[in-house]
Amino acid sequence: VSPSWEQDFVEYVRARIPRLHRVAFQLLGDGDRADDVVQNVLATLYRRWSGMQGVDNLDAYVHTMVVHACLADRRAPWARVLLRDTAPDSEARHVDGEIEQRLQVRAALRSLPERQRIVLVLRFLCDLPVSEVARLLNRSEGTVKSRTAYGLEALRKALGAPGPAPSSTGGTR
Amino acid sequence: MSDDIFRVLKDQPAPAPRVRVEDVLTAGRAKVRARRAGTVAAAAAAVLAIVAAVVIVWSGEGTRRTMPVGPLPTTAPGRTPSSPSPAARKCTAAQLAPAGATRPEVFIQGMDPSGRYIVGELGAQQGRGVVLWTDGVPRILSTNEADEPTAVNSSGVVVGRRTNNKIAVPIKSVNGAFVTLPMPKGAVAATATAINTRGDIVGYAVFEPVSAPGSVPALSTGAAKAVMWPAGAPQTPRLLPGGKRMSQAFAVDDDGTVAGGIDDGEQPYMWHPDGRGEALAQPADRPGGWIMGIRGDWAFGVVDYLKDSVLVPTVGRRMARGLLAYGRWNLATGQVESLERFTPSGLADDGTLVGYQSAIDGPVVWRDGTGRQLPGLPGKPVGGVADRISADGRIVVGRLFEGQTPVIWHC
Repeated sequence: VSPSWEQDFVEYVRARIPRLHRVAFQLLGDGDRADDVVQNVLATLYRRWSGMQGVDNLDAYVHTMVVHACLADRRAPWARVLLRDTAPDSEARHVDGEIEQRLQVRAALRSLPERQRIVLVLRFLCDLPVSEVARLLNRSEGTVKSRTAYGLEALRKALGAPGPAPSSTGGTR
Repeated sequence: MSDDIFRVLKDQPAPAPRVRVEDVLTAGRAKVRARRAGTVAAAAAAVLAIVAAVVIVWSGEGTRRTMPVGPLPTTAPGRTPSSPSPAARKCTAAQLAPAGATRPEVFIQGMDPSGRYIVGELGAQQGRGVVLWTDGVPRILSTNEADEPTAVNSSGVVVGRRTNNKIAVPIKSVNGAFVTLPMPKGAVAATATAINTRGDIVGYAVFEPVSAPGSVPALSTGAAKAVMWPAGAPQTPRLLPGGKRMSQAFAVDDDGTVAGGIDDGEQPYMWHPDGRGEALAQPADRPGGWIMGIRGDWAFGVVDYLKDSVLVPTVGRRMARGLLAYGRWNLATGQVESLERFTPSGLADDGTLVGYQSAIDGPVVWRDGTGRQLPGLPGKPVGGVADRISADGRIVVGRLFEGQTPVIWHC
């Protein structure tokens, strides 16, 4: 018979897998990698479970773990391989059909500095409010807002869409 | 307004999670066991062995992979290790000296077989650039954010590419600064991917004409050809024939053997020093892939790529769908084995690999089907990746994910 704390853990985890997976999928753009990240994060949570009683907002804590794991995953070797040395060309050239459009937006997103990209994904793909993104990234709301603005501008530029002229302060690099 | 841009991604139906609570429990218990085993055994060995049980559990339901093709000899023929194998030795971790910046963030891109030279790319927070360590002492080679290193040899020569307006040109370091290498006649872009001890450089060049209106010749691979800049004649790049449509070289051994892939990820391939090409074995029912690294009788790279990629008709080439699968080749026997949930990125003389194992989110030395986790730094989570290993297996370089901190392990 599994201990009761383990039953608590199972109950908690079962209800949250879909939402956590969705966040990981949006950040990574890939279901399999999202599976890996979520499973790994939850296994880590299992190991730390006994210390979780004192955590004020467990959902926020786990959410943060998933986001951080996704950021780490993006830097894992295959992420670089996918972007650089694979046979495929990551620059989608033809806007023709939904797959190509997606590839193009993803390619444009990837071309942004990471700090801008992450903010855009969390805000617009995961629909998180500025305050939540600020908490997740441990940055001020002002920083999140400015990165959002720069990121959107850079994204439009990357997609060749008309937008405001680049400001003199430029991006973050 | 931003909604318009993101709508196409948001409308994409998210795949159903395949994470099962049972698997989470199994993996979680394994983490607890690993932690306990680590605490108990820490005095005896800093290397934490993650036994095959973890991998076997993970490769059960919910995994796309099937098991390897045929057994392999446990050691390369003719080699009798006189000391304990690298995987069995105790390894100690130390941070590589940061390159004069407050943040150490670096992505390791290469180490020479002796372990003396290490090359890395500075992270965006430092404005990018290239750093070269010589015996642990860092020096900034380039502050040009267009420069990306790909490899370094035992003379400290770094190669890579410089990308401006999406057009890459091959570069190599001469007396501490990068110069561009000549492109083959007719090429619109090229990159150097590897260099061996005597200075042969390999890579690939793109010959694709500019067709679509407004498009630029990216370093795409639709019409790529593998290239060698021979040590004896670096100004005369030589195309390596092979493949119906295209070829790419990603590795060169000290005897001049070149390895890579042909036809847009359809076939792992090798060019012998005499120029003869050879298609390498592929796991049964898992075609497609390319070689990423070669050392003596061993090579590693991608397998099963035809399943893990999709041909996008309008783009005219394959694009990866997600996680790739990897394999290790024994060139002496011609056999290939699949690697389960292990992403290799470096290779030693005896076939030992280093890389990343997702099951433990850690840097591992991989040998005979077992990954052994490398230790982290005091006060930092061990999550990270091992990027390269010296020829004798005694020096491993990689990074911890926290802060992208570069780490060197002495084994």
